[in-house]
Amino acid sequence: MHTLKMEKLSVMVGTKVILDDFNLEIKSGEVHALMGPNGTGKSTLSKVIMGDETYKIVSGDITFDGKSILNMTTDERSRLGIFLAMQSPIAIEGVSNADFLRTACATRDGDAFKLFPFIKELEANAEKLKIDTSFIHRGVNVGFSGGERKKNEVLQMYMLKPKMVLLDEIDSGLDVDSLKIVGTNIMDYKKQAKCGLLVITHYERLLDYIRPDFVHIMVNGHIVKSGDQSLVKYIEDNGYDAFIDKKDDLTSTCIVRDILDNE
Amino acid sequence: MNKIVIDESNVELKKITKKLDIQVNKTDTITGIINIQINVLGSTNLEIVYHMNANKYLLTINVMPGVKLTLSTLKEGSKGKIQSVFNLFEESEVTYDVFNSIKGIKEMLLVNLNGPKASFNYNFKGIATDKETYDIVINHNYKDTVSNIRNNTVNIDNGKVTFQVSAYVPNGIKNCLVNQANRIINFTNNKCEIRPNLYVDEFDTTANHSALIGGFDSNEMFYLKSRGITEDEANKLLISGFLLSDLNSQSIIRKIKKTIKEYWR
Repeated sequence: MHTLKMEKLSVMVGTKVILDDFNLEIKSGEVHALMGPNGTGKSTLSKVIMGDETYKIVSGDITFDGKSILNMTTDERSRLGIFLAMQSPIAIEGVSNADFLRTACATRDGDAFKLFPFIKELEANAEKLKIDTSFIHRGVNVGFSGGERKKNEVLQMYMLKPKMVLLDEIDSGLDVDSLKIVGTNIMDYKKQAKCGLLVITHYERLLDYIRPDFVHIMVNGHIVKSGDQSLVKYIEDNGYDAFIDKKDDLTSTCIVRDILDNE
Repeated sequence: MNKIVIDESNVELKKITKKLDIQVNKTDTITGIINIQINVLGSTNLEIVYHMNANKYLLTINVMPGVKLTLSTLKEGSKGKIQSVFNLFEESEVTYDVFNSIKGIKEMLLVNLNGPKASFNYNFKGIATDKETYDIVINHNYKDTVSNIRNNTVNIDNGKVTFQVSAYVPNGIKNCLVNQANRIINFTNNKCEIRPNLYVDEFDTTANHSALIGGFDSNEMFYLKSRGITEDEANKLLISGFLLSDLNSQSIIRKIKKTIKEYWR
């Protein structure tokens, strides 16, 4: 059992507060969906967990299995078992997928790394995701469509075998068929690895495949409402307006209109 | 594979086809310059390896009409001056891969596109550990000519690199394609310079240039590190990608891989 916990986390970029007193706990086997309007800090949260040095942590803590990870580098956090599937995976020219993944797996496994099993596993996982194996020798995400990039993220997840998976808008840029492949493979991995999942999304359609145990609405850098999957339906029908207090800013406390409870 | 090995002042020709007419003049006693002239009579490939020790060379390559030359050059040793002159005639094409792993060099490359549809594709890779100066001049003397100049260098230790790349398209020389992309990854605090010049006096020209001096993109580093790759390994991967991309010559690829292992163990 593993636990990723954000406790009273406040984060700034320059002079702007992005996360404000953010609290969330994710345990192995749980699926948490994080939803909210654009610019509310969802992607920032995922990058902060991963240790992106662009962001300055003002207060609070992030712990993994009870130990603070704030002083750990990004690669150390990854080797701890945290994986971020990025919203816009970048292309790296000249670095092949094979070299990239081999280096990542070899760094993780050390002397235990074996090339032949790695290749077999890579090919098997590529097949599951319906990725042409020729892509293995292409540059990382170079010339990939949006859908291929997202599948590549899921492939990396399979290969790195994380304990806690953060999915930042993994559904963006996916057609219906690719969405199904990505969604079902993520759930297959979850069942197999019994990992925790944080799913950042704008759309209900992804959550048809990745059924959340908890749904959180994030506005202005903090969670303003938590509930079950019925919250997703409400957002689909009504949007986020009911959760946004026009007077709310990041230095004041958000007042949540608990419309769902009144309905 | 046609090969010329230039070991200081000795020039050795290996397996040279009749498609190459090569003349070597011994060291000029006054200037100390070793003069090599190559006439490329038919489509072929050629590898030139320099082992330098403060030598000076003048290399002239004339590529005849309709001929394609695939050229690769590897330079090793310390200090040296090279002037290379390429004259390309109608519909001739040169694809040129270069790797410099030399301690200090001053180099001039002069390319004359002397016939319509002549095309020059230059792919330079280097690891600079001392002062290096490159002056590249491309003369588009005929219509429909193409030049693609790409310089990628990693600057380390006492490296101090300057690229001056100048392309000329006179008025009336229509439909030329003029590209140059210069990038120096600087791991030192030493000053490096890129001076990209496009002297284009003809509206009917497509010209592009990019110049970048600095480190690797922080987003690339974050992406690699987010997969558990250490900073050192991430740098090695990015350096490999930077230096190995777009090369045709397998011998240069092997040499670059070996050199990367030596510098970044």
